Amino acid sequence: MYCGDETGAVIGDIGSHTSRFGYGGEDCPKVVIPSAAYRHHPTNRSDGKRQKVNQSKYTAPVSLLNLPPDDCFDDDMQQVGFVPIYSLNSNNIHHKPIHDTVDTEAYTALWEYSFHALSVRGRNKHTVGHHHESSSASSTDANNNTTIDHPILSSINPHHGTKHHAQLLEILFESLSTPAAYLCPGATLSSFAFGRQSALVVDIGHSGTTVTPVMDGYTLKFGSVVSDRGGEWLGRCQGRILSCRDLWRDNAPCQEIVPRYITRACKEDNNDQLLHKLKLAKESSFHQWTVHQVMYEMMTGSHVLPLEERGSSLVESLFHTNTTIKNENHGMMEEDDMEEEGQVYVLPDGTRVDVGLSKTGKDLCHLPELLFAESLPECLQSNDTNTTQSPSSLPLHKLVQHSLSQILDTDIRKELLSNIILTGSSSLFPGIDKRLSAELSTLLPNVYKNRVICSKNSVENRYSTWIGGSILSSLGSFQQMWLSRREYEECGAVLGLQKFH
Amino acid sequence: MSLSKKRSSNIASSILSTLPPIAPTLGSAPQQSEQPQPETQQINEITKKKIPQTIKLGSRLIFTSRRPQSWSWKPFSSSARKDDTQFSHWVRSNAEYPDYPYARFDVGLDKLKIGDDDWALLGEEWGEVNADNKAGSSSTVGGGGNKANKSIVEKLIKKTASKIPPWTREETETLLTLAHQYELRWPVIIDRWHERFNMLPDGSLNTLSAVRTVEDLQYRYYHVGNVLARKQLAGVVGEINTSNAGSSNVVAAGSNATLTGKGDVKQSSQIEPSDQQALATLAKNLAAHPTLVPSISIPNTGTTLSNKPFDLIAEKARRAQLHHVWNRPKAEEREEEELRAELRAIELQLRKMKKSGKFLVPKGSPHSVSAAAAKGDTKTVAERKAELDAYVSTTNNLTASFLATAPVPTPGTPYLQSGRLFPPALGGGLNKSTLKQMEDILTELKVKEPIATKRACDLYDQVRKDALTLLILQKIVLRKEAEVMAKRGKLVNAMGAGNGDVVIEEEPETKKRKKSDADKVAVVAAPSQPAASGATKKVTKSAGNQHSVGKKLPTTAGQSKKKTKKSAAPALPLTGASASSTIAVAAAPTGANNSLNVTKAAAAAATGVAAPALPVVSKAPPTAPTNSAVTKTPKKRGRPAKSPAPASTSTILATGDANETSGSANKKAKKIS
Repeated sequence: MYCGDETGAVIGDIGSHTSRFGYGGEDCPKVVIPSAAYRHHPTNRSDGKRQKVNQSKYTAPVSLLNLPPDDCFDDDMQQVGFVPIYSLNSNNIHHKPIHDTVDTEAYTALWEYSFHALSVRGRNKHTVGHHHESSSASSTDANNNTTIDHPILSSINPHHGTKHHAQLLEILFESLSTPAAYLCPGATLSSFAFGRQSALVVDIGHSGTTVTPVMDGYTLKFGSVVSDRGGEWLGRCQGRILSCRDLWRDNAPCQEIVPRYITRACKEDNNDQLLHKLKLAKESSFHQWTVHQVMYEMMTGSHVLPLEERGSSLVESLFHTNTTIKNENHGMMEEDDMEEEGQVYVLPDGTRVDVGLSKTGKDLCHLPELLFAESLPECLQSNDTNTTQSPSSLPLHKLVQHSLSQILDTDIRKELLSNIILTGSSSLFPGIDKRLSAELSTLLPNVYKNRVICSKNSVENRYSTWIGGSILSSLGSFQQMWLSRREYEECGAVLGLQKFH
Repeated sequence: MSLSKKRSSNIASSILSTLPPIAPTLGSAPQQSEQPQPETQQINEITKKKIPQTIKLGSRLIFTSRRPQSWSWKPFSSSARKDDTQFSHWVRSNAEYPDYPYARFDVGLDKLKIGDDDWALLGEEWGEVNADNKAGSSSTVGGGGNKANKSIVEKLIKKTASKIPPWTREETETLLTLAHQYELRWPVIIDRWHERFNMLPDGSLNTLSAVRTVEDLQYRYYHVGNVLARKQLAGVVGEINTSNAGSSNVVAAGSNATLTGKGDVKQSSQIEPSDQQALATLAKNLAAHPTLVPSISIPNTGTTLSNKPFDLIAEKARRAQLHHVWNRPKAEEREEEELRAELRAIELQLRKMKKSGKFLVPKGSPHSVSAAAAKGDTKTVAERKAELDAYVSTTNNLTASFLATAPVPTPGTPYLQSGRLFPPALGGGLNKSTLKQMEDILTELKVKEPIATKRACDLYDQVRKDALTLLILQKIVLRKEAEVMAKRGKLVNAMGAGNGDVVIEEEPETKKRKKSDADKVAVVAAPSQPAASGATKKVTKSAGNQHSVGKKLPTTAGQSKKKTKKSAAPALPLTGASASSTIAVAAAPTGANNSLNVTKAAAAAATGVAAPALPVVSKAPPTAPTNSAVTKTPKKRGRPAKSPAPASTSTILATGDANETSGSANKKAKKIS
């Protein structure tokens, strides 16, 4: 039975790196933007009086190719107006509940941008059709008063805590004036996107990997585990390998990654103001984001080999090289320079990195192996002294095992294991599903047969959470689940959240 | 002009056909039709011919001339929602729904409700345990255990329940709420339970409630449901007992009154009148047959009132086992795996040995007893094996000789299947005469040389092999038989005029008959010796005749007469020697009828010899029946004259009879030859 009903819900999935928006019932999100916003500082008025800081304006989307706009640089505060929605504390992301609060205005800005792009505001959107408005800034102002008649479904991360969720709900109802809203854990939505009610959702995202058991659409708290091995972590590892080993083809003066915005800015004439801006930008989180952008590009390069099904020994042999051997290789490498042109990766600033010949270069080709590495090489170990085997440092397959061991009802392990859903942008490395399956079958008792489900379609893998939301919101039987504005006004955000559990 | 025409003029028909079946396309809602421009009308004229009348989309036919059905974006409210918030959706403009069509999917469980006096009831039920555990506490505290069912299981539960803290009222109510909210999804319930009672993820406990496991929660829930259902039943039963007579209406009303009188307003209002009646009838049944406690339930709560309570002990054991399997170290598992592999290998070997007729007999097992019994039989295991070997070697030899002439398939060198039709190579028990006999069999079976396909050749080979095996084994059987007869004759000779008990011992089945037989033989044994030897030659011939005539002989069934004669011939002098020693001796005094008598005896002997050939055909162990068949076959034939025993006791009668038979036999033999 189809049981679908198009009610024009707006689905939003704001992740740690990318946000996706679109109408429910469609098969992929229409708006995909970075999960960050520019904070524009109020410009000097003619009378020289400054506006208050809290009146500053937020805009999305963020371009990671160019420097932030001029009014984002705050000379007094010595900082750049770049606000990631979820700030990543690089070393221990998940040890502290730092996600308790979000920058409300930045969050709102993302939604507002999507509303603008999807023409959510204004009545009878479906019958009137799409009317493009020229200026995003004016539209946000102009439309703030008009209400929308589309319910909003937003994905949440159960690890962020109730306080955070209540805040999101407040934003949806107060700032965005939605008639009804629903918050659903991303893992649940992912499992729906793969057509399953019960599954073990392994989401390898930007900020880390989450393993979440989903039972009949309910996420289980016991069994939900997080590790920091995600796309961002892989990018950092790659950056460290690049910086601490002499792989550089040309004798580059500075052995660090130069993001695109610097090269672009330097093409223009150099003046003091620009240098000052660059200096400010380099210390901000904007620089980190742009560096990660470069790292992501490199990770998805053609030199990266698919994961092998049996690579456990490979991980140990990789990334543990002596400096002496490496230096010898380095000497040899230069001779074959011209012959092996295809084995060179060119960074956006024109730096050429050898990835074919040297041992270290080959390590770069096996970068995804790090997700399964039991122990990390010294150069990649993080600085914190937390030596205990916390779940945040577990390899992927151990994380799955850890999750299943935590589940309180032993009966469901078998079912979950036969429905492992591998999703998230960092799960796009080829062969990762087979590898995970192989590792699990060696790790777990033989009676437990595992099956890893991973879509071959990269869109489905990247946007599975959003797609699940799209499916859920267009079900006829779902329409009774919305938390309506009236209910919200009666019981408030915290009590309203209970409707979603 | 209609919209469709206007659209079709703009959009190529190929694009039209790719549109989805239902097309409330966003932003392309019906607009009021405008007056077409003159040039577009012209284009319409041109393209009109190309547009088909109907377009098939999937299983639907869309008429291009018909105006598309209009859809509208309408608000709706669902009865499944508690508030009447309106959402909007796309519907056909003319469609009207009384209620949101998907509201009927709003199904859920009812909550088990415990009234205040139910708590008293629960407290009363568990009073004993409470007294043990916690004196002076409020009645809301409950342990495990049940007055009604005092089975061993219950006692065990009591035992375990004494270790864990008793259920508090808060806990129970939380449980009922969770069970209602998550509709008995126990994995979720236990998760939320621990979330609420704050078991830390590292396994340490914050509250006492967190020690409860899934099965504890399940047991508690079903137990509460059981108690409540029983209470309902008890109310009805009590009412019936007080007011014995009366219509069912009165009963229902009365029971209602009792329940209300008990102060359980909630419960009684919950029960529908029909349920009340059902309960009443159930209670009647209960009163009539106390053993037939019906399985009733509080509707839509997932609980039942049954005599079979939730088996907590078994559930605990099952989960412990699951836990054990999950936590088992890999090394242990590997060890078990190896052991299993070893076991498999041993079993395979055993099966192989069984197939080849060998047995591994452990000491003192029932098998060894039977083996000993088998030894007590005429043959030892080793002998049987040797005989089997004869069979096996025969087939092996045959296969080898077939292979010798057939082309050998090697990669790259093609060969003709017809090459396999050559006769097998000689040697290894095969000689020309055997081959000739085989061909005789084949002609008699009307098996011609087939067209040389693989399947046909395989079958042809199989037939030839079977025929050759038959012939060779027949030979072996005859030889063995001859040996047996010779030995028996020797035995008789060795005994001389002594008692025949030795013979009798050898063949327990014919003990009685042979006894009297042998006595008579012993009387006349000595003078008849030359006559017997003289008769031997005649025996040979007439026995052959007897064979060719006697259609009842099993060997003649599928064989040529000539062959039968031949195969029987070598055996006869030997068998005759032994057979005549019993029969010809008895015949000696009759003088003139001597030869006829001998003929008959020989015939009997011949049948005795021929009989074992039957099992060979059916591929049974060839040697087994030889002993008994000698004596049995004449009996089967049912002719007193042919059996050696009556021949000796009533000679004259038998002779006359035999005379007739052999005479006809001779005539027929003459005709044939």
